[in-house]
Parts: sequence; C-alpha cells; structure tokens
Amino acid sequence: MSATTAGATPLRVQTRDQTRQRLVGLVQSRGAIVVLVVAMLAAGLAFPDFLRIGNLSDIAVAASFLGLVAIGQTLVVILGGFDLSVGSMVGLGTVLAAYAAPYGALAAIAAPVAAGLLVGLVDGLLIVKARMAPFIVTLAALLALKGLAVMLAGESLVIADPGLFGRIANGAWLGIGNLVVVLAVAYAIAAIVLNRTRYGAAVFAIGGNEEAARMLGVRVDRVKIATYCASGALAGLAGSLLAAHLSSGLSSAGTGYELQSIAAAVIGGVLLTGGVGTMLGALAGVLLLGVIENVINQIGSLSAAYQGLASGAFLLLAVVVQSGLTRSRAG
Amino acid sequence: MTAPIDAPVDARIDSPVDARIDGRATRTPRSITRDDLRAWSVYIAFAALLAFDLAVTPGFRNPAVARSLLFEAAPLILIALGQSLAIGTRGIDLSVGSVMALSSSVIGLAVGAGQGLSIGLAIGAGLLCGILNGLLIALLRIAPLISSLALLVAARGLAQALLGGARVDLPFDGPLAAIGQLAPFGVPAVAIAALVVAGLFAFVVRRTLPGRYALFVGASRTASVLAGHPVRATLAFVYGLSGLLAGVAGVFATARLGAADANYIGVQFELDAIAAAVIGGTPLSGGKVSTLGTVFGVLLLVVLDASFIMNNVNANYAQILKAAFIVGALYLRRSAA
Repeated sequence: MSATTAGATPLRVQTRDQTRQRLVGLVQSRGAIVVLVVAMLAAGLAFPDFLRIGNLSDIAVAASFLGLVAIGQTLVVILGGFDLSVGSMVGLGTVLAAYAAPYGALAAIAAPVAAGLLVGLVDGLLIVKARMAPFIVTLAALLALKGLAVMLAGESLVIADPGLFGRIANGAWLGIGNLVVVLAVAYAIAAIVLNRTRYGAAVFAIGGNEEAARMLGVRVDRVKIATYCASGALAGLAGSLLAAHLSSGLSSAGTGYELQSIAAAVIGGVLLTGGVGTMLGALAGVLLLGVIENVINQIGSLSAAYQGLASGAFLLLAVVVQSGLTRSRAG
Repeated sequence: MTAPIDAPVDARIDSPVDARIDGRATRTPRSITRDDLRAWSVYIAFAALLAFDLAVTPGFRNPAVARSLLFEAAPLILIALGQSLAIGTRGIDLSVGSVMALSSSVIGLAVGAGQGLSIGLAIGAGLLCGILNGLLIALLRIAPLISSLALLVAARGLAQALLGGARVDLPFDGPLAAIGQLAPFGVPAVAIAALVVAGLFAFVVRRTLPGRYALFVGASRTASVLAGHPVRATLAFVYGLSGLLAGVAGVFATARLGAADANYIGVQFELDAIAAAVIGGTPLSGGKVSTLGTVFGVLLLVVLDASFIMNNVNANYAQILKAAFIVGALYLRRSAA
C-alpha cells in the first residue's frame, strides 16, 4: 500500500490540493449520510408507507441491535483491528439474558454485558499479550461462543414472564420505540468518548500509527484491551435487549452481525486501515443497511436471500469508493 | 500485534523476509531445535491424534471411517491450498466457503441441462468469483480481507437467491453421483484428485514464475514492485486460482451430499481452510507456503472433528474444543509466523 501512494506534492498547487483534500475527506466521512437520505426519499416515493413514523421507528428498532454492535466494531476498526466474535456474542447474550431474566431486569442486562466484557478481555489479552492476529483470535471466539450458546440453550429458551425487562425493549414513547432512544443515547455517548476523551484520542493514535503512539507514551496495550472489552460488552448489551425484544434466548441470534457491523462501519466512512472514522458515519451505515432490509421486505416478492446480496454489494461499492477517495486524497 | 495482515510491508521491521517455500525454518546440524519441532508440529500432532484414535476411539479402525473422512477432506484440501497461496501473498480469501455454495447453486440450476455442463458452469462461476476478487484486490488495491468479506456475504446471498432457499436433489447416476461415491480400491476418487491438485500446486509454487512471484509479493510487495514483477497480474492469478479451486470444491461437496444446497454447502469452511493453512506452516505474514503442511493441516482438522463425534462429545462442546485447539495451535505457530 505504501509504494505508489507516497508521491511528493508540487508546491504551487498546495492550496487547491488542500481544498480538494478537505472535500474528499468530507465525502468520505459524511457521504453515507447523504446516501441514506437519498435512499430514504427514493423509498418514500416508491412506497407511500415507508416514510410513516411507525415504519421509520420499526426500522430503527430493528437496526438498534446491529447499531450497538457497530459502535464496538467501529472502535475496534479505528484501532486497526477486527472483532469477528460479536455476532456469536449477541447470540450468547440473548441466552444468558434468558437465564438471568427470572432474577429481574437488571440481572438480565448485567449478565450478558459482564460476559461480553470477559470475552473482550480474553480476546484483548490474546491479541496484546500473546501477539496473535485479531482476526484469528476473534474468529476462534466466534466458533467457541456459538458452541457455548447452543450448548446452554439448545435452539431457543423462552422467557416466561419478561415484565419490566420486556417493557424496556418493546415499550414506546410518542410512537418512538424505547430502543431508538437507547440507540441514539449510545451513539451520542460513543461520539463524545471517541472525540472528546483521552481514550478516544488514543484509539485514533493507535489506529494511525501504533509505533508512534507507543513512543508518544500512549498505553497501547491497555487501550486495545479496553476497546475489545467495550466491543464485547456492547455485543452483550445488544444480545440482552434482543432477548427482551424477542422474549427468548436464541442461540442463532446475531449470526452475521460480525460482517454486517464491519460493513456498516465501512459504508459509514471508517477506514479499514485504521485511524479514521466517525460514529455518525457508522450509524448512517447501520441505518442504511436497515433501510435496504425494510425495502426488500416491502417489495415482498424478493426473498430474504437478496438481503445478503444487497449488503455484500453495498459493502463492495463502499470499499471501492473509499479506496478511490483515499487514493485521490493522497494524490 | 506487530504485523497486521494488511499492513504495509515496510512496517514489519521485526520479521525477517523469508521467501523460502518449504516449512523448514533455520536448521542447525547438531540437534533438534525448537524451530524443527515447530516446523514438524502438524505432522507430529496428526500422528499423535491418529495413534490416539486408533487406540481409543471406538470404531475408528473401520476402513469405512477413513474413506468417509477422505471424502470430507477432499474439498477442504482444495480450498485450503488456494487459501495458503493467498496467505502466502500476505492476503487472505474469506470467500471460499460462499463460492462453494454458489458453485453448488449453479449445479442445482443447470443439472437439468446436463450434468457435465452443470459441473463446467459451477467451476466457471467459482473462477469468475475468484477473478472478480483478484481484480478488486489487484487493480483497486482493496484489502483482501475486505474484498473477500464482501464476496463472502454477496456470493452466499446470490447462491441462496438462485435456488430460492430450496434444496435440489441430484440424479442417482451419472458423473455427479460418480464424483460423490466413486472409490477405487477404497480410496475416494475425489481424494486422489485433491492430492494430484496438491502435487500440481506444489509444482506451481516451487517451480513456476507465477508461484515464485506470489511468494515474493508476500515477502515484500514494495520489493516486488521495485523489481518490476507483475504484482497485479500475480494477485489476480492467486485469487483466481483460489476461486477456481473453491468452485471445484463446491462440485465435490455437492456431489457428496447428493444435493445442491446453498444454505449448507461450505458454511464456515473459510475458517477451516485458514486454520489448516496456518497450522500447516503457512505464516499469516506471507512469503511462505507449505503445501504438504496444508494437506496435513486439513487431515488434522477432519480427524479432530471425527474424534469428537465418534467419542460422543457433544457437538457444541466439540466446537468449543476445536476453537481452543486452533487458537492453541496458532499460538504455538505465531513466533514462526
């Protein structure tokens, strides 16, 4: 990647070059939002029901689980890694929530989150201390957690009396689902953490250049482990809320979230080479995938299989555009 | 993590550039070193597992078991070979499992128009996927992990869409049935085919220009560019080959199953293929490919699966154990990698 991109910029075009770079950067980080708006308007024209508040809220609720997962994934990708274990962690999270639900809503939320933290800790330690590729470690975790979830729950585990736990996920306020509020708050917090805290700065620094960050005194190992913990915990939370939403623990829940969350982040302008990305972009990516899913459902005659095709194609398109933008930025 | 998969080559200050192709690390004539043990670990582990199974596992000594395991191993060997060359270029190909499914779907669609034709089309579909992947990686310089990830999602979706989620049963006679069942002298024909492919693969990697270029690209892409090697063509070749092999593997797996099924064929095979390649001595840092090691890596995983099943280990528990085994194996491998 380094051979052809390191061209020297002639002095006289520097100002125009800077303008172009700013523009490209803007497209890169905010392009997904524009695409999202355009896609929603197009869908609204094609399907009159699409733009109703109820439908939009449904889309956001359905996207909220992936959305929470994508926050963690975005952090990990900006850091320069991957977390492929999140999908299985969501499944395990629903199962643990189903087990803990009889002990109250708090337990049903805390247990999966704690499990996610633990999984993230193990992943992080293996990556940082044993120096293994994140890709391999989290892939193995994907397998192991899925096995664990099926072992604990069989196919599914019904929550007999969801009570408050169920109301958290299924309640609505002024026609807007509670989960939409959860999603919005989570992204707001994530954006603040990423952009306004020492931790967030460290994540960007490590993703940009790990060695340089280390030399500047960033505690690289700690930040990495903390980020994998955050990703695991968010996946656990997503699993817990999904269990509340479905009133059951489903070991197969969250299958494919690992890829979809990476896709969402990339569509939203998070660079897979690390060091670049925004939470708002990732959210736009998540919602865009949700809109595609909703539209495919509305068409009806298209099978769910086209969803995979569509999100794969979208991911490819996004990556092609991103890499083109990155190259034009580098000149 | 000192060496991320898609990091620029010059970031690997601490890892020596090693474009040798055999699994052997630095050898000292005096005694067996840790490096030797590491290089031979996959064979030692396979022998140990085999000895354990022959001694303890009930029914393992039945020749039918070996036959069925070889049937299972053949498609995995093919995709693991393609995978190991992709890893040798310091890349990865996550799409192989989905490409197998796509190949299976194509058979399901075209089998009515003739079995030979459907096989040809299926392999062609795999090759097309591989070439597409290779072009994305070579021309647009997309990280292999991502381009093949997108293909993983898209190819599986396309495969399912083509068959509408249904399973298409194959006819009971003809070439497909033969591929699925033929076993002269008790050795599955597909396993023989896979071994022949492995031999050809070793030849290509060791003795031909595309193979040598591939390893050079993996050892140092920058150096390859500077040396005037056809880096892009090489990458397109490597991923095209991986797609082609995945297409053939899809035919083998479909024939063995006796049905085209996009939901079942090749699911998570990419993980096994990567694990087999790396356990077999192909480091993720590129520049090295071990053909024999990859074959034995596959055999090791297949026998491991069978050991769990035949000892009545709960399938889910087995999955956890297997994951732990892979992590352990790769942990031991990591300093060689």
